[in-house]
Amino acid sequence: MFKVTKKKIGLSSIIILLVLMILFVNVFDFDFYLFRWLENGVYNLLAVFIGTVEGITSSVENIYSSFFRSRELIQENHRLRQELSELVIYSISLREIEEENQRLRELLNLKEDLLANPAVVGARRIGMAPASWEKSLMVSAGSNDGVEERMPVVSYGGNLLGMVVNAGVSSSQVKLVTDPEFVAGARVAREDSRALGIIRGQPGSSNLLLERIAWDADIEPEDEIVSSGISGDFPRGLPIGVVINVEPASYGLSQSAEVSFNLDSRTIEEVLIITDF
Amino acid sequence: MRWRLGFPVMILIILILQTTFFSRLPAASFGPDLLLVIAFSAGFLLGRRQGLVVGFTAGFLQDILLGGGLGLYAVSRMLTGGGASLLQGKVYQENFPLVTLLLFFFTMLHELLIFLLSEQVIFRIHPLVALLQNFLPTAVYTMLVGILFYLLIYYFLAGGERAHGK
Repeated sequence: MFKVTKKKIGLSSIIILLVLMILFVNVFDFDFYLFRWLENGVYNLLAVFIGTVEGITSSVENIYSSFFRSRELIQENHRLRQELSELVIYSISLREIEEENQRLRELLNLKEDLLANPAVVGARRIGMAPASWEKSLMVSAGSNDGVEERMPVVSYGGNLLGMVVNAGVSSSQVKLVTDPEFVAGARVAREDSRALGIIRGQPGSSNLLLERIAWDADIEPEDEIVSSGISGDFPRGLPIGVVINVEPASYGLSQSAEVSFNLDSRTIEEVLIITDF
Repeated sequence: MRWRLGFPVMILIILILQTTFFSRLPAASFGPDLLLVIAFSAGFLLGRRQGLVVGFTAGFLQDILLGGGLGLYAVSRMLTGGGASLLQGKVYQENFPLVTLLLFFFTMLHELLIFLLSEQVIFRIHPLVALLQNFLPTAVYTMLVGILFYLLIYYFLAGGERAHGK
């Protein structure tokens, strides 16, 4: 038979108190210094192990690539050189346009708010957080590199990838755009439409949802979606995805659009953290 | 006493595997839930106290890697370890096919608990979609890979080799 002893009551009380405390801290989003200190300490310790293993894995992959994929790499190198030459020519013409744009802005007395010469920190992916629904990455740059919480993170092609949610000493955690808790201002990037909405991740899907679009806003499939920069958390104009379909929402009072995310979080190896913009 | 050293090492190895290796594979959401297997095995093979302690430690470390601090997984893993200990003495630890099935059901229950407690998920996805896209693939994956880890724990950490020797 199950006997109630003082020891069992004590143990049960401790467990119940612990569970209640955790739920209380989470529900009300309290930030205790002691918790934060403990978490950071453990995280920094774990990150060292994870970074080492990932570093070894990457080295093995690189050795494999250099041995067995040399022909492919030479071809890729040749193609990239060609692309670089084309981009140099393109950047010269862009510089001309930028100067012209600057002159016109001065004429109209418009404030500069585009992403001009942002300060960035490069990092590589060291791991992906293990969870059922949350989508986040661990990257190899932390507070020692000037990374702070809430800094935007971009990846290939300047596409918005997410936001730093925790900066350790030499690594950080990045909440991805596809995470159900991620929210950012976004807009349509079309010459004749600037429809605004809120982009957020969807549970169980790699596609995103653009919500709270005005009921009469001009938005169509194939429209490109970029960050709006309204909240001030992200620079304006970072590419996010492409509209797949548009539906009425809130009984026709607004619209929502399913957006295909430009990046595949599983294949991302390098990221850029925007430290100032 | 072997578990005091063995389980922390195993938790660390599994956390590294889950964050680096399994996250690269295209199956299930984040691969087999091996931390659940650890919590389950500790409770089922060694008892309630061990199940609770190992479950809490594994969940706490997972929560830290998710950037949320003490949270959902610390509680859910602890409950898994505690729940599994209730089966101790009622199910043969050597009945591996049955343990495989138990792993399946514990994963399903755990996924359901996480689903019910995730406010950003529960109202935004149909339960049937969650069941088919998330619960079932994770449970099957965990069952298949998890039994291998259970065997490792059974033979090397819980004294299973002595029982078999006798």
